[in-house]
Amino acid sequence: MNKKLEVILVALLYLFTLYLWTLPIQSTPLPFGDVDSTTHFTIGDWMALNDKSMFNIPYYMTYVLGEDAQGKLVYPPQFNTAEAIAESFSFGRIIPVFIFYAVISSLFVLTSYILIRKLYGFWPAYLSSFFLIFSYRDYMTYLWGMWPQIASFVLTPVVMYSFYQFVSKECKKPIYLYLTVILMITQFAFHPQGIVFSAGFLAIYSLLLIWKQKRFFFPLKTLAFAGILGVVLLLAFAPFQLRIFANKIGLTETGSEFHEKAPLSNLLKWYERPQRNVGVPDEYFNFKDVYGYWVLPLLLLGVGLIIWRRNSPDTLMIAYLITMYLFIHLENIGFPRAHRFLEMEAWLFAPLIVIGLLSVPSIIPESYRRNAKFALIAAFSILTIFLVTVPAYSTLKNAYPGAMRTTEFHMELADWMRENLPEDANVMYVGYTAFAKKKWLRSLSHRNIIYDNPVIPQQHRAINLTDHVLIDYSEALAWTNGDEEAIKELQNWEVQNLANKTLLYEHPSKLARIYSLR
Amino acid sequence: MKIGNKELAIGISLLFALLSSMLFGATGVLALLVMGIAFYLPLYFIIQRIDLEPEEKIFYPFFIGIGVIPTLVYWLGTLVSFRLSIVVIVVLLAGFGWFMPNKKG
Repeated sequence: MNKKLEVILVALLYLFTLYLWTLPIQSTPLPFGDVDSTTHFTIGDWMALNDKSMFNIPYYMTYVLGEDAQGKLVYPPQFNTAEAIAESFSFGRIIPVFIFYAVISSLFVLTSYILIRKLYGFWPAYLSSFFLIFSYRDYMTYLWGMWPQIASFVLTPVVMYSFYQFVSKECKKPIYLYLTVILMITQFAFHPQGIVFSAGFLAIYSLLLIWKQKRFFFPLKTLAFAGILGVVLLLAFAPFQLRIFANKIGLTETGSEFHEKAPLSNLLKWYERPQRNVGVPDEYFNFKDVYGYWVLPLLLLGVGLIIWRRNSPDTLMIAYLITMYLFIHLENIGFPRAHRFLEMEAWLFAPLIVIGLLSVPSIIPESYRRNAKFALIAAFSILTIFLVTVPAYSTLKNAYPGAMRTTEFHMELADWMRENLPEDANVMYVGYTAFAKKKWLRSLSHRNIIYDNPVIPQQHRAINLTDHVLIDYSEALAWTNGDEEAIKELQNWEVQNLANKTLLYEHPSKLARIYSLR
Repeated sequence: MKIGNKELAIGISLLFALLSSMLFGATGVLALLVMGIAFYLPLYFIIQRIDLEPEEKIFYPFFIGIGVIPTLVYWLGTLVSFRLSIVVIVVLLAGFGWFMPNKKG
């Protein structure tokens, strides 16, 4: 393959990826995300709008980050600083950051390409990266807003690449080991699960190589220097977060997140949905929904082939396979978030599927092999387009539709609160809207919004501190299915409780008001 | 006509600018430009000086830059304006890479 043509093809591949992955903000340029997405967004947003790094967390976040934080950021600041950089010199507060999320979340298409290109050449890399663009678990994780975790994971294939280069050059170019270390520390800075997986992979891959070569061949001096580099970088990258990480994995007396172990029978299966609720839909654990059964024979063929052949690239893939198996079974020792490693499963399976596919021509007479190979590539691409592209396109295009997404109306309310209320304001949100959108109100207003599931909050930790009330009717009709009685009840509550309070703001539509109780 | 590396890089950058302009207007172009300049360029100059394979000199800068640049910007940003710290770090690192001697790996 001509190098320049390859560069053009890869650029086109990523251009298409970027088009697809930015679909959620193309038609509706408003923020989206669930889980902790609002927290991820607001830290960078705060830094960009206040033109300073967030060292001590501002008041409105004290009820978000909890006691773990001890007044500091729970995770290292790199991901949020990167968001703030993207926002700082761009026009706009939402689009630049969400383009950044789309870029960082879809980078695995390129990082996987880099690794597989080195191991197996152009076609396996290109075809598997094309398949990966539509990877269900990856775009769902992106839509849920778990961006720091994705940013950490997407570096894993480059970590593998760097270490592969180090060992394949007989350890004579230590720069590759140092690059491995820098990338792993970056993973830690984005989200600790990435470095944990990479470290597991390096250990397993190294053991396989030592076993194959029947000797310990790593230069101790280089290893020691890489270790020192890692410690120095770790201290520079995240000095305050190491203790929090130690807590989480149970290395300190303040406790850990470990929980009940999964049954041993799980070990006999590739993976099974955890019995407790981990907050993701059933499809996430179903091979048919994630890939489709049509690729299963190819996957098995690919796995069989690398185990049978066991050449140098295959050894890396075997180590990847073993690492994946072990990490997605960490629930068996009580590790709480093992299912999250499944996000990287497609980056392993897609190349194996393509390896299986491209091995098929080897069983037919040599004179037909070239044509058969291109026929298979064409057939695979067409099947991918028909079976995988359409649902991915539809999900991304229709993500968070209508009332599920933060509205311009709420953006206006949040802007007003950010510009006019004191930084230590405690604003009770009263009204009908999606739970995640209440979080987005806090995130966008940079003020402590007191909310919970009911229309009138009952249980928020700061409920007794309420000194402002935001009453919002903008989505009441939609969320009550036009139940006018429910809306009247809310109006009565407003009259009874807020009539003699100071009205600070009324939206021009008269659908929202903010009162001061101070 | 033979296309050189520089022309190829410019052509691909223009393609990305065109796509982001079509989808998000000037905001999109500027967002990609800011990311390119902040996360890629400084490390690009440095990594050119290191003995790596040609394609590695293209992709490593971004993956290293995305971690290193925010770290330095963050710490400097605790002392001075955040925007100023971005400019200072990008200029300093790019300058360092520009004047750095070639190294064998």
